[in-house]
Amino acid sequence: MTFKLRIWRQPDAKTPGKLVDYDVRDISPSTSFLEMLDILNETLVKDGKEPIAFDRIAAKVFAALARLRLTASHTVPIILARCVSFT
Amino acid sequence: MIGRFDAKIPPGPLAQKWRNHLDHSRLVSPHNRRKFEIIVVGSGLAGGSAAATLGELGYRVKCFCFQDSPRRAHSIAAQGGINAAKNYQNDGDSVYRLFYDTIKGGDFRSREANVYRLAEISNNIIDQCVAQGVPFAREYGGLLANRSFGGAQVSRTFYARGQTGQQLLLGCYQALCRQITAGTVQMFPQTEMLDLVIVDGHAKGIVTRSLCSGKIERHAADAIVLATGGYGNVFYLSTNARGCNVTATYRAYKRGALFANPAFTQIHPTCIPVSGDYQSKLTLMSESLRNDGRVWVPKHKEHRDRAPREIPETDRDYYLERKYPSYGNLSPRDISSRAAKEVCDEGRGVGPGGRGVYLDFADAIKRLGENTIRERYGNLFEVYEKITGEDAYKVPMRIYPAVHYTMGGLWVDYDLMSNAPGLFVIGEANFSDHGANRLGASALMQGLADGYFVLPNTLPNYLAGQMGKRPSPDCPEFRAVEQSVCTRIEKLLNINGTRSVDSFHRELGLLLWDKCGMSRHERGLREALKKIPELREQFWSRGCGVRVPGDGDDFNQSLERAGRVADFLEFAELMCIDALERDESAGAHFREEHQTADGEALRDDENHAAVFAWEFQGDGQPPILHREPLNFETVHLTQRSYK
Repeated sequence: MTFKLRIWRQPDAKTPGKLVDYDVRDISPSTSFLEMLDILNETLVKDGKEPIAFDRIAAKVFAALARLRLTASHTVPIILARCVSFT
Repeated sequence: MIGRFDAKIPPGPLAQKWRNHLDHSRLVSPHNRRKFEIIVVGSGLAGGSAAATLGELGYRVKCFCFQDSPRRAHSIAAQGGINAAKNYQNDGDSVYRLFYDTIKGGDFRSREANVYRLAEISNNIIDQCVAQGVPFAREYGGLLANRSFGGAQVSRTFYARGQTGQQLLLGCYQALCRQITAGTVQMFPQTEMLDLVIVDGHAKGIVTRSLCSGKIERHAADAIVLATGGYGNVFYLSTNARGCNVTATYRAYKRGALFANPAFTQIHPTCIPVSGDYQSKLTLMSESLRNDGRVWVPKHKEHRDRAPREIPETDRDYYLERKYPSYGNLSPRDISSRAAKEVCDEGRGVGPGGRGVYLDFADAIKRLGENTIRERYGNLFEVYEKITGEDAYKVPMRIYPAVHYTMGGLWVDYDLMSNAPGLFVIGEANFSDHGANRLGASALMQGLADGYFVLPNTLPNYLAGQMGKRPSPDCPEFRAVEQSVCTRIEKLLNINGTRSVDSFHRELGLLLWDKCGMSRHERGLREALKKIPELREQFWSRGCGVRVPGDGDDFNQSLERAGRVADFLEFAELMCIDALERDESAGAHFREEHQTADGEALRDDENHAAVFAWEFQGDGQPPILHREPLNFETVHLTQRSYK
């Protein structure tokens, strides 16, 4: 399966960020949402780019909100903040 | 070696050692306690309970965790229960029986005195937790309920459904929060300890890095307590949280603390099997399920791909019940895990790749009704269904062994102090109580015993001689350690290789699982000891090793993981050296060359009834082994049998 992810990238708390699109291909149905992000990061590192930083609990919440069913090609609007503050 | 290698076991009969020790230990008077600062690293069950108790006693505590809240410590994931010798079931349990079951479960590779104390204190833990409001399961009349766990023929495990760890941690966390509000405990979340500071031969501080800002800081104290959990993630795939690591204890080892029995790593028999190359962690299915589930595989290889309900009873091999009639499905973890591996190696494993066995609740559901099973394990069945898509009320669970816990850890004496004076180690981070194999429901027991009851009573024994000796964090020893931390971070960031941190971690994990996992062999261990340094060298090779993007002065998850994996790449070597040196089988450490005719672990008590404590000699140098002979005054060593 191929997923199109739209992810918020922000270099640091002070610099403006933006949404960036990524295609993640060959995702098996047994892969979890978080593992899919890990796979994307492997590719980014191999390509010399900065990997996505994410908090696992927050990502799980977003996945639940998106009501993902891993059956076809999806465009999943996901907003993930690189710098996450916790209270 | 810094400090002394002396277990300091108190004299006297076993049942009186702890009481005698308390009566003769030095104290710190209430008005002096606020003059002492204690650093606690880790805020799970052991660290959180220690910090809360020390704060309540009047000490000033700084508590550090790398998570964003103490509630996210991995203790929260513990499911099945906590042991105590209350004998509420009136089935023959006692402090002595819990002690003996634990020593035997550890295959006679732990200290009698420490284990007896653990069994004694177990009852206090339950009272403490009930007073905190922990919602333990209760019977109809309101009394606390119990269930059984592996390696015991009594029901002594107290539980809160399949979320006991979570409930105990919340109880501990609320006690900690009270002390934070009272001003006795200062909490430092999202702050990772990267090194230990030794001043005049005593552990007197740590150097930390903020995971949010990257800021490096020096913290001085009168004593340091490490409660940083286990090192199961050295195998990459384990039931541990992704962030769990060996860094704090390994750094302490490199600063002079002895590391004991690192080869004693526990494989838990009931975890959800691996299902893909990019799987990032494994999911535990609590041992408590084995109270009611029956473990089986098809008798015949040809049936392994059949739907389980189509395999008649006569064609099922309930192999644990067959091999170990006395304990059956509740045989200890090391034995159950090896038995599962054996049947899968024979080609009778089920599920993808043949790496799975069934845990079947059909009989229990028929006997007790689905509602009863749901009450006992509801959340566990939900977890299973969410991950596998299978309804375990209708089809058997598929499970397979996975790395879960580590019995090895920093060496400590009876006071839970390392050979490095002033360094205390509690919970899974120390080696002390479980020997070569931990029984189920004992980890929660040990973590809380250490944190609530042992450390608060033994720490004053050290502190009493330390009044006015806390150094400044500006002294040369602190600055030198800070510099070495910064240098290492710079080095990691400047490797500029081509591979991700995870790719190295995965490769290390596979190598260890293969050569130093459920069973070990001299040939395989030597091979691992050749390959690990090669992998480590690749990791650090400029231009072609690991790539750590970003910089150190900011939130940088790659840098965090790189530091931890760099430590795993060194620690893995120590683990294999220990496994090779311990030329026997004991508990979870199974050397294929040393087994009985029945395929069980064959100990060598004459040569190896000892704790193996390793001393760091420098990078690239072999560590020195110190043996602490284990003298058994009360128990008689026998071949461990659960038949």
